[in-house]
Amino acid sequence: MEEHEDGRDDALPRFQEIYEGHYAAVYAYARRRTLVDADAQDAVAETFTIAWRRVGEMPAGDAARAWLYGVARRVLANQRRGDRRRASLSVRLRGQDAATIEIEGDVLAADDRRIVLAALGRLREADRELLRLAVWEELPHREIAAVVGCSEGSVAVRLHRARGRLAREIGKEERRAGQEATEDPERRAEGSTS
Amino acid sequence: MNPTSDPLERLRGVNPVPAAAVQQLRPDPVLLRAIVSGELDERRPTRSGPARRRTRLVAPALAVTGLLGGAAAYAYLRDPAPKPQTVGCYEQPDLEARTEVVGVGAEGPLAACAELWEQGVLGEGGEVPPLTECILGTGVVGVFPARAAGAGVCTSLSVPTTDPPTPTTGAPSADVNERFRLFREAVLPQFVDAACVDPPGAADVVRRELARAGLGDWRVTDAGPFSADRPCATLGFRPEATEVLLIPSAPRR
Repeated sequence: MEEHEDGRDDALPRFQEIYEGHYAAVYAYARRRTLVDADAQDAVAETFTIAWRRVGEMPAGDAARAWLYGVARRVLANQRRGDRRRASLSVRLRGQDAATIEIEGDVLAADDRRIVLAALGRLREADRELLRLAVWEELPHREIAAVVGCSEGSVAVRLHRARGRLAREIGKEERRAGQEATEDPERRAEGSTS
Repeated sequence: MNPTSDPLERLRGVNPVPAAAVQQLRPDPVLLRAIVSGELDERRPTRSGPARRRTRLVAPALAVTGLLGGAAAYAYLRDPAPKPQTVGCYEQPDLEARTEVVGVGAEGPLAACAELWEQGVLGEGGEVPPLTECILGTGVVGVFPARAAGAGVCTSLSVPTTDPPTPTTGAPSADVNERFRLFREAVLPQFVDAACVDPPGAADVVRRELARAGLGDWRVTDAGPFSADRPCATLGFRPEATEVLLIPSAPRR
């Protein structure tokens, strides 16, 4: 093992503890936001590599998790910017991003889930991230504030608004799905008589 | 259809990695060793900048995927979930064309998209054109109608094909994602269980398993130099480039 640049003897055991304590959470965070598993693994590696270099700056306890999520968030944003330079499916699917299509096929196949994820995909990235952190990562407002870099008070307000916007988008998606369901039989009937 | 009208509860129900699954994840010891030994840093420049940043992002990816030949592979093999999930069905042989994203069933992406054409969701009149599957930049499969571009639809889009162009009027071809998954499952244990696989041996194993998985057109690239310190090959996967990398590593103890 090479000597850590901080030159502190406790850097390795501290990093090891952080790594072992938060690996699963960071992987899950990345996997929930990426299209393919390999991208999530890359993001995890990059996140912990940064964490190792900056282990002296990392806060203790649960705050370390929020710190890691914040790093992973930026790593994934960089990854997405790289993807956009390539022929990326994620930016071509009706404006939906990877968050909308990262899910399992059987999940997509379920109408209700498709509706919810399509609605999520129509929100702004800031709203999506707040909702995911609150619901999927189940973070308290204090940690959400640390990840996204705002005050704890504004998290509550922004979450409330994001929740409302999600509800509205779900409503729109449901109406759209209902319309398509009624149009399909008509279209088929037309096809069979022509 | 939905048991609750609370949008947050509904969102919770579609969490791609539920909390119960997170508890089953185990830290990867090989990645930890690579990080603290500086193995990942060795592969990146120390200064950042627009031109260098790209390298910095790619280099650890190579190093880490290379480690998949080691214990990181266990994480993959433990998890049966990574398999074909979604496909983008394009209405035209054009990456900017209207697209429907659907889940992939057991019959593969061609069948999934053909169903949309039959239903009139894509195209008009329920006619299913010959369809071709290509690998997009993200490694995801896109299925395009081949009628305009003919046999070279993937080439014309500058994306790799998964197979020779296959008409969808017959049985759909096997899903490329599934084939990649099978390839990984077949090849990784041969590296995980060995203390050291030399580069020629590694190339043979990879080519053999690629061919068995129906991925014989993938490239095997030497990402060396190999050295006395790092004489063994581990694997890196770049499905988006249909490429498998042989990456130098130290023998396993």
